[in-house]
Amino acid sequence: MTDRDAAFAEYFAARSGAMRGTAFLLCGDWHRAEDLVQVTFTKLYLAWKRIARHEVIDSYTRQILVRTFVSDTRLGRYRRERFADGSPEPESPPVGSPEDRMVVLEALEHVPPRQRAVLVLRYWEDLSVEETARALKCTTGTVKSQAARGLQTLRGRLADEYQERVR
Amino acid sequence: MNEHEVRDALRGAMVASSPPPPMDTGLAVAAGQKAYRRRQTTRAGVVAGLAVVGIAVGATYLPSALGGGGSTEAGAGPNGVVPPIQSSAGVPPRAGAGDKTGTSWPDGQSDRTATSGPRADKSVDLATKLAAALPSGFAARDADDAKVRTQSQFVDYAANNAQVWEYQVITPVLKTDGAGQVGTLYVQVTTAGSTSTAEACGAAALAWGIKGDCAVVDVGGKQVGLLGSDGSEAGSSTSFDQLAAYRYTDGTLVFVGQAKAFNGSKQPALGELPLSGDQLAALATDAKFHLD
Repeated sequence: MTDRDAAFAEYFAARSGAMRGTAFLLCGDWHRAEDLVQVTFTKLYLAWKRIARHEVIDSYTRQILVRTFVSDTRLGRYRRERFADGSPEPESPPVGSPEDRMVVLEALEHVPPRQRAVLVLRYWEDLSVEETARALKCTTGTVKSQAARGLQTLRGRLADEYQERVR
Repeated sequence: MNEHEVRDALRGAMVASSPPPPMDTGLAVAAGQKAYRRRQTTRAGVVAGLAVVGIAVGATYLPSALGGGGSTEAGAGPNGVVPPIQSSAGVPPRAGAGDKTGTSWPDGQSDRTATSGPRADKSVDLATKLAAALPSGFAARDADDAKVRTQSQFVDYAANNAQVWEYQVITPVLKTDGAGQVGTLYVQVTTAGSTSTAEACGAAALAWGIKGDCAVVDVGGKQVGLLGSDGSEAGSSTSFDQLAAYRYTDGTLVFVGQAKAFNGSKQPALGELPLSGDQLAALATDAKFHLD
């Protein structure tokens, strides 16, 4: 294994888990999250030699991840697939159970991809408005407006029961 | 819902989720190397194409520019015009085509999951086999908010370019006495060629973040990992109460799991697991779950 491969492998082992978590929140499915992370790290591998300032690798990787997600979603990928076809939507499961995540994730599913990316970067990755703007290649004003719209969509989608719980 | 609540909700969702085992670093490096080689090949093709065009242009115009033109260049037509290159070997590929880094899905699929065709049929068939394995007094079928689910998904290409597939079935299990209690039976088969080498308890420990005590059970000379969990251990998933894992010598990996409850269902849980631990372990080694 070359030095480049060893360094890349070390970085992948350390950071792929966190990136996969972000990808999961973006696309709502672990398998697709892994696909997204795999594509992201493959692109990162190709750029590895160019990244002289290795302290910015995380932000660079995150940038690839969200841009790939937004771009691929436009092409129709990363739509959430359901096992059972034609079955009615189950009611919201009781709060406090592991199924809480389904409430949040299903609500996120209804947030447009770019707004979803803003919400995940801002509130899961805890990025600043400026950092989020750089990752999505847009202005800070766009980030603020997309975050506000995303929150509004989430509010509309989350069940009343769940909202009561989180208050 | 304000920003803090969104932050809390996202963290809660992640804590409650059951992430699959960590991704394989070796595969990630291999994918990067493959993409790198593909890009290098593409660039070489572009350079070669430009060189061919340059030579052709030079051969046509350079003699006249130097005041010659009395002789006809080899390969030129009767009027000194070089015929168009017929071979596609030197044509530069479409921009970006060689940089595609996504997985190449098999058999014309647009993504990982097969929703129709023989691969999809296999997981449906697997559901039938799983239902048949239940002892009398239990039945595997839909029950209101608990549905039978099947999934066939491509995992990767093996070293010999064979396809590695994963077939899953999760089915509600009901007692046939009409008590309305619902449990879970699950099977997942990863076909030969998987890069994971974990066996028995090592394999069981990788599954769905379930934490508990694991014992190796001998089933006719086959070593099966039997993991029991009451979900009380910190960070443990509550998807299954018991999980059996068996790896065939060819790499085929079979997980069989069961639970008294069905995740997401509001119906009451079974009072007992459908199968004993030994039965579950034996099921993991059953040849009918050895798929390709």
